[in-house]
Amino acid sequence: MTGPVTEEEMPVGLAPTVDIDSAWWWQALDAGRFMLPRCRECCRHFFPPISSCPHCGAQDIEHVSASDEGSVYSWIVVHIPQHPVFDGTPPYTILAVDLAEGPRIFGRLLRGGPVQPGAAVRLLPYRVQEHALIGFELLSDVAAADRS
Amino acid sequence: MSSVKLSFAGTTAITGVGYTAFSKNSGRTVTSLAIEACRNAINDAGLRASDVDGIVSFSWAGDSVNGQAVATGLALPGLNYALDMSLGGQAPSFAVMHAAMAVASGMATHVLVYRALNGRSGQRVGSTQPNSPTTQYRIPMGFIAFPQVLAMWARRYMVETGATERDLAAVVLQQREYAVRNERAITKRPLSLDDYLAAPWVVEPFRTVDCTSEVDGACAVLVTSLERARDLAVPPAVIDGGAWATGQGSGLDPSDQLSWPDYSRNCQSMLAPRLWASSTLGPREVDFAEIYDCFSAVVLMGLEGLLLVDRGEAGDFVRRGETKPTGRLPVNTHGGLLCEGYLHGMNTVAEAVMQVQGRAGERQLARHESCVVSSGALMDGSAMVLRVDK
Repeated sequence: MTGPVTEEEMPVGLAPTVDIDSAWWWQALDAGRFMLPRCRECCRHFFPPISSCPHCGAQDIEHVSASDEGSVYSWIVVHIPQHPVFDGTPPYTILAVDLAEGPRIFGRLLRGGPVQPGAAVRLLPYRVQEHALIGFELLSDVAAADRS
Repeated sequence: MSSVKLSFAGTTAITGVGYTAFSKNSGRTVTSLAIEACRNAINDAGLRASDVDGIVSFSWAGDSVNGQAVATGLALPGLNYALDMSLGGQAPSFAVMHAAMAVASGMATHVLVYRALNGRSGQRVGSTQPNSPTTQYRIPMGFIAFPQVLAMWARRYMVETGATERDLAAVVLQQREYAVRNERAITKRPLSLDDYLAAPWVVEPFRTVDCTSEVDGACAVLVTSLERARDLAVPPAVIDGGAWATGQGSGLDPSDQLSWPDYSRNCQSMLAPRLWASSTLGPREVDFAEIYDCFSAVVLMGLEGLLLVDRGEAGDFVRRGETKPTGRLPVNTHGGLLCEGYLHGMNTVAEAVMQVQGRAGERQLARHESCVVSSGALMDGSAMVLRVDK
């Protein structure tokens, strides 16, 4: 079961405060392309986008398309969100995901569960107003559901 | 030992300690709280305000006042050293070490270190949304405040070490036992395991009782040379060693954990080798520990990070009662930040000093000749070894 996030699945959220270093990354995500910065010197991907490579310090950075796969590094289940926009929403899960390319990123768990450490996930962006935000679906659970 | 030579280690000491009352609504300005705690620390040492010529402080997102405001309120004749750091819980030990460096270098003679805030009735760090470069990658999806940030680390720590909610519970229950003997503690109701398990979730794996209590208040200590401290009104707590450290990828702002590779090892793991190399004591030689504890799991990570127990053994160590007053290593003898209140760890340092000085009253430990005190739970942090004068 894949495909875009349905109306019922779409969580509430806030608009990101985009800056000059991150504008290209958000614009790509809004346009349906998941990209990462990569260093032309050491050829490693990194996140978040900044003007130099956090692995080697080089300033020659390119923007490349990334896969939509990763695995769960850690997770939290939020019961008290600490922001009025999320008040009254049921508990939700935020994943820390290690992407196949290496960098770590946060995203809302939108489909599947329960969460296990190391579980495979696939990117599933969702929209808040006109902004795309990072979401994920758990693949192991999807596979199990497909078999049943 | 002592392969890292620090000019202030063994030559400087903490002497006077000052507190205000801790409350949920002080009804006072932060300036007023800061001045009171500092005046109490000066009086406690048996000094006069005019003896003080240096002030070090720290604040988070502008929640405090600078040292010169306190100097003005205390009518100090002048200052030869002042430092106001934009840091939170990673700062207290670091701030004391800055004061000790100022004393050891000769820039200043008697240096106050304080933390003051209306952390409950004013700006609350636990629900503040920092305006920093990397919040755009988490706040829009509902990953907002510090309890959530620390919970992400706690979960990974539990995955890697096998620690369970019973281990978190043991930390909380034991610190409640200490808090009963602390008149300052904001939270002192004894807790059973059933009470713990029934407490509502804030953000899994943290329940309400795993989280620190935000308070209004202030706390100060006075740092001077060991030689001068020997002539003052209270015994010296000698600064025997110390370290501040972080690792590669400490982030674009103080709450940016995206570039930190290992959420099961925080700043305490980074600083431990230098800390013990700077001290005359080793990690298994100190009598007790005051470990920064904004959340329960941070105590377990601190025990392991500071090399006080082996990796993965902290939970069992606490459940066996080894951190109780009669155990091998009493920990957080004031009830910790969980119970005494969240003065961002300045009160953790103050408790370490009071215990070493033998002035902790009803909760005074029998063995109190040396301790380790830590500050910080994320990427950067500090710690010191304190001991009695030999």
